Amino acid sequence: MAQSRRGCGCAFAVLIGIGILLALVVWKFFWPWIEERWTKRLPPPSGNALQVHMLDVGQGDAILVIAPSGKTVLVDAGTPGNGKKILDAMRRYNVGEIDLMVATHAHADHIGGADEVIRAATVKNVLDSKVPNTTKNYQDFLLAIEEKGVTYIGAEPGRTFDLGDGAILSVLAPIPPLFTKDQLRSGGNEPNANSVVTRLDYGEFSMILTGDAEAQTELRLINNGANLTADVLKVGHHGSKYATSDELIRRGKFKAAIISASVDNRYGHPSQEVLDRLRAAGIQLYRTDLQGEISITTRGDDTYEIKAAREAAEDMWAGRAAQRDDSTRSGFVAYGDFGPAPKPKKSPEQRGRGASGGR
Amino acid sequence: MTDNTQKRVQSAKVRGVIDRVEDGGMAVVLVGDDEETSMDVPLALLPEGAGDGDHLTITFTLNKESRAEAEERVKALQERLSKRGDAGEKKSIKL
Repeated sequence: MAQSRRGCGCAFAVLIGIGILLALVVWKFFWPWIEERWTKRLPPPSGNALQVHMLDVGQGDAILVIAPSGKTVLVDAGTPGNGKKILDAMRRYNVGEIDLMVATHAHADHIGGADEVIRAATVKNVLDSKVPNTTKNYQDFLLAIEEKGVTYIGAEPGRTFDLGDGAILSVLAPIPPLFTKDQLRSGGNEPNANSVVTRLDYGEFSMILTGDAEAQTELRLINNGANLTADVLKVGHHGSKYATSDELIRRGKFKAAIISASVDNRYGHPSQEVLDRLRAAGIQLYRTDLQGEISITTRGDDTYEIKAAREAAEDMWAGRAAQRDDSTRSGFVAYGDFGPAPKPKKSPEQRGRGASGGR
Repeated sequence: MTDNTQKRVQSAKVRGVIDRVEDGGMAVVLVGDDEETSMDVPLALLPEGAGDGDHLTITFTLNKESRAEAEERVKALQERLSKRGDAGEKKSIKL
């Protein structure tokens, strides 16, 4: 009798143990999905079309989202002088105003044309990482927001924007405490690392927009349990080798990836390393440098269509080489006022493989 | 040279040569002895009379004062905008 009671106790303990283990597995691997689908209860899609247009703005990003309700989001605004291109695209797609402008970070290849758009069109809200830059370009952006009375919103994970008709834009990053310079790789910078990363959901369709976030940010997102599984990835940092890690690709299970870069950039964008990683994962690739504007259309069911403005004339899976940084080797007449030249950089990353630009 | 010495360095000089002046008055300046890096510089920013084939000495100097001033301006602007922002602590915003 005593033995039987002991047996019951053991079985009960084993059951409790299995229960705890199962709970841990669910929490670790399925919680982001459960949270997204059940806790936040994504609204059902209306069935009208959602459009995402990756505009061809050369070496920069500018993504125009037209929600099925007609609400609009502009994620970044290309380099200075690209405002006109964006305004032209708005006219082409019959977009009268921007309900939300997302400034992923304060570099000129992302907010360069933002002040032009804010001054020329009606922009209702701006979402900013608030990680500053000392450029006149960033100041002009802030001044335009001030002068036009645009609502200025800081990006924080968990903040969501309801675009109507079932489309939701959610902020995933920057995740506090923000990255500081001393935590980053050599050549890394705080605006990139603290990029505003967002997720666009509409019914069965989803897309991750990464700004110039690199592997360290991707890892933080994964460890933070962010829901990164999506149909489409806007590839981080124009295809820089420092972004789009294998870990992100595994977690994201992306079916398609879009890279925005210019045909003549000197920064090695997109890098061969990233193209190889995407190809190995069987992801369909689109590139603005080779195909021009890329447009996605979906009605929120399990299908979506991606169209490129033109066919690529070159190999889509061939990366670009970064211009070599050989400044420590030659050309310097003198340093300082004017002491000896600094030691050559020893980083094998910088010397052996060339530095990709940190724009 | 020690790291401290490197930190004291405030300026750098580099050799440049004007390879050509393109349409619109943009000078293409090849930088360094091997001339593998190039910069596009509006002719108006170069010394008077500069043209094709001229050699240049380019000086880069850190301007910490200017940077500090810009940081102050940006901080003040961000604070003004944040105070005025309507979103506040609202997590979910309907556009």
